Amino acid sequence: MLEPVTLTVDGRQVTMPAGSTILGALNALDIDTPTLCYDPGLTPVNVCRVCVVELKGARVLAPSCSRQAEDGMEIFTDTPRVRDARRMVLEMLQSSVDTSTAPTLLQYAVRYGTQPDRLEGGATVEQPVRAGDNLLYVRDYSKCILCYKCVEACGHDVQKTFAISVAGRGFDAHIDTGFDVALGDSPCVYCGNCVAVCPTGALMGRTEFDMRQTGTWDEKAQTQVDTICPYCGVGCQLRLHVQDNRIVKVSSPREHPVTRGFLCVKGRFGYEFIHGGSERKHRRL
Amino acid sequence: MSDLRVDRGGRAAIQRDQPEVPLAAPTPEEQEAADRVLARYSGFRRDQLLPLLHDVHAETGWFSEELTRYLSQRLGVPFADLYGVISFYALFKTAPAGRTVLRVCKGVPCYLHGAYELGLHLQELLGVGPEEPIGDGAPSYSWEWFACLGQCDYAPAMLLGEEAVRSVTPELLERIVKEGRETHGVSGNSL
Amino acid sequence: MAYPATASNLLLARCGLVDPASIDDYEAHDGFQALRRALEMGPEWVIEQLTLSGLVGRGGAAFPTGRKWQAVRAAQGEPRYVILNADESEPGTFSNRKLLEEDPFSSVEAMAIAGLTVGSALGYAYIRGEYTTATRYLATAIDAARERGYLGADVLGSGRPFDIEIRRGGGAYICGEETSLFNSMEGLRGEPRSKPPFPVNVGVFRKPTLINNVETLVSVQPILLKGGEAFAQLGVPGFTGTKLFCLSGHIAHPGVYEAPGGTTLRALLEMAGGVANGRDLQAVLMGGAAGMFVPLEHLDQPLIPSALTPLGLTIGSGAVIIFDDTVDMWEVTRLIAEFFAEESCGQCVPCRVGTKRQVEILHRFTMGHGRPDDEQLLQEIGAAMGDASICGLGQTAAWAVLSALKVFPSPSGDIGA
Repeated sequence: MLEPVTLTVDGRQVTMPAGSTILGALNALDIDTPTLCYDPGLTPVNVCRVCVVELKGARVLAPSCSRQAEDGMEIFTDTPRVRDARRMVLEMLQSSVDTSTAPTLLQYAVRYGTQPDRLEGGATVEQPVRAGDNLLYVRDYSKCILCYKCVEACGHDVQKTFAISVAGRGFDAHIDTGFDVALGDSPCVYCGNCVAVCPTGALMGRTEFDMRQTGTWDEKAQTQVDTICPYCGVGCQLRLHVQDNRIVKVSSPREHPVTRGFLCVKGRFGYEFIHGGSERKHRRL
Repeated sequence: MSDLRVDRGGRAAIQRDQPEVPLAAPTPEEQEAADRVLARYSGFRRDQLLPLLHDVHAETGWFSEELTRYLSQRLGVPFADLYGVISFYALFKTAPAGRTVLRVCKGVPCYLHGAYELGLHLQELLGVGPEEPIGDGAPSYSWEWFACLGQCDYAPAMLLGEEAVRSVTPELLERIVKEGRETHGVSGNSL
Repeated sequence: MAYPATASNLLLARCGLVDPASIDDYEAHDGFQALRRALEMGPEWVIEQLTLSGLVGRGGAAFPTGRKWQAVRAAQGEPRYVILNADESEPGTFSNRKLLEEDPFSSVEAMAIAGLTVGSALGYAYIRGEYTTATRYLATAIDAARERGYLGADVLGSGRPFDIEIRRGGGAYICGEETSLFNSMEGLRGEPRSKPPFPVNVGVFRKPTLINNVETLVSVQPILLKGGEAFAQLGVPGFTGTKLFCLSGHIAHPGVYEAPGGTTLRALLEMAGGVANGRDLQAVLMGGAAGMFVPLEHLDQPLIPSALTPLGLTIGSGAVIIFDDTVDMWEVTRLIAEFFAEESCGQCVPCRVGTKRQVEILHRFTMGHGRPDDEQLLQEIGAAMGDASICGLGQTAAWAVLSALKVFPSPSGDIGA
């Protein structure tokens, strides 16, 4: 079916190409919809449920990130049911997960007026940080909201390495390398694409992690410099995050039509040579 | 019929080129059991995974890390992915369990018919709490609570290994444990 | 409202009467006559009978069966599949188990009819892993049916193929949800998918799939033998035919009872001998863990949607659990909440965290140190789960808890101290 579809959102009509999602329509209307597990470069998994909207004639709320827009749909993005559901999702996350490095989530929390203390005192996903098994990035699953983005980036959608998966069930569901083996015993190639997509800082570059621990990480004092990766012929775009004249992090613009923000280990982590004699240069990775 | 299921859709993955990582091998018994089962699944397709896991589990009683790695390599299913599937299902164990597992139903109807008292009695008889195996190597038992078994018209019920046991009484439990001990020729608390 | 004259058992007709391992016994009791009729009269006739019968899904979702079969028949995409949903894990439900253990051939025949009607050559029977006896009986029945030409490359000389493979579940209540079942069959974690798309178009292996509960499929046989209209004469408008109810708990004679649509809880209680040991009835949980506690003033309501929906009730799987006056109902409610926390697949926030928080709050309740806003929290958590969960598990996991708040007095103790 290649016919465009016309739907109504909060009383406003919009026509979208066939195959659009409701979120596509919301974006076209400049309606700011919260999302946590959605990423334009990854297959939508609709697990966070914060993007839900009310759909006329439907019994339950619909996830806008994955639900196909259909001709004649009537959608409402700001009803009490929608606000309550979004607030509850955020409160549930705040009560069970360390959201201290999840600025987007915290902004939504303010917008929807969460009171996370109400659900406090129950189980959380707090656990020791996994920092000892490699020098490039850190896994702090106390911050994991189980958005599945790292699994998708490592798996089908980007890297096809499949070093991690979701394991367990229910509240105990978590990201696992399989029997929680060290990254060195997994197929991980340290491309850092999981780090790039993580919305809460559960996956974080080592430099950033260490600087945050010592209180020296200061995003306001950082500049961003775009350049081309020097390593191979693909020529991925690198965005160098520079603080005090040192590169502290490398990202890549998500809007890039070819690489969509995904890099390899060389582009993501291979920048120490720029700083000359680094104390790390004699260590094995 | 096998051609009908070529389209696997979604998120299944067959990875053919796992990195060479020298890691611990499964025990000879695990490998032998796995090979026996794998021989029955030539031309393995991802949709055969659960039947295959059932068959392996029936032989080994649990999935160790080494056994899982071996299966991952032989099947072409990524290790983390395979662990993700195994760890989802309550009948599959990833820690050593007794060779025979007694699963006491804790569904609401069984609760109404004294399931909790049965569990406590079993704990006394076996000398271990739920999910703690007894016995080393040799045939052993463990017990655990389990979700509604669908035997509510014969509550309280349990699974003895793969078989449902209906209308369980303390005396029946004692008989089962005693017979298990006699069959395996051990005394005292170990089975 | 009086309900119509009791129908002779349709679904349970052979249970306990025939040797479940004997295909001869089955044939001697109308076995495979419906399949012959279906072949003779053709797929359109079969679907017409189902539509006339008014049969709706018996697993809990109550979707019109004729419409579902028609949708699969008309769907785009090859091949198509038929799936017997025998994952039956709703607490207090055991009717599928009984049908498979005592009359397994009826499921085989029904699947063959379904396959030939919707254009599928391969059916799967997905049976929960804990039902080993039922699995054995069904496996034996499939082999015997194949031997006699009811399954295989050429069903009864029609030139059309249909065969059945058994797949065992791994111990997960969520796999009774149809899209979880598909993922489980595909060798993945049994996580539900979003709907739409619906199984009739995108099912197992992303192909059109007809998935029905065992009881629904077994109902097809008497419909084809007696005709859809005759089936519709049983029961009442709004719930035609008969339904299996599973009575358990503090009931004198626990078991599976077949009653015509429009029956009442009081009638079922009487059929099953009333509350056990002469004690007083305290509560009734209808629909299993995903159901609700029924206020006792509704025992005479006909169990049909038009009567139940305005009361906020539903038949669900047909499980009816009876509680006498000795039971601590908040302890039971906590057990139900625990069940859902353990069975949640963990994908989505409302269910993964919501089911956990429910248990924690109920634990406080039952230990006597609830907080002043606990009831309010349970309402809000329940609303979020009902509105925003991916699947029916999350959507119904708060129902029993919310109904308990309505039906039972709050637990005594220091709430708000």
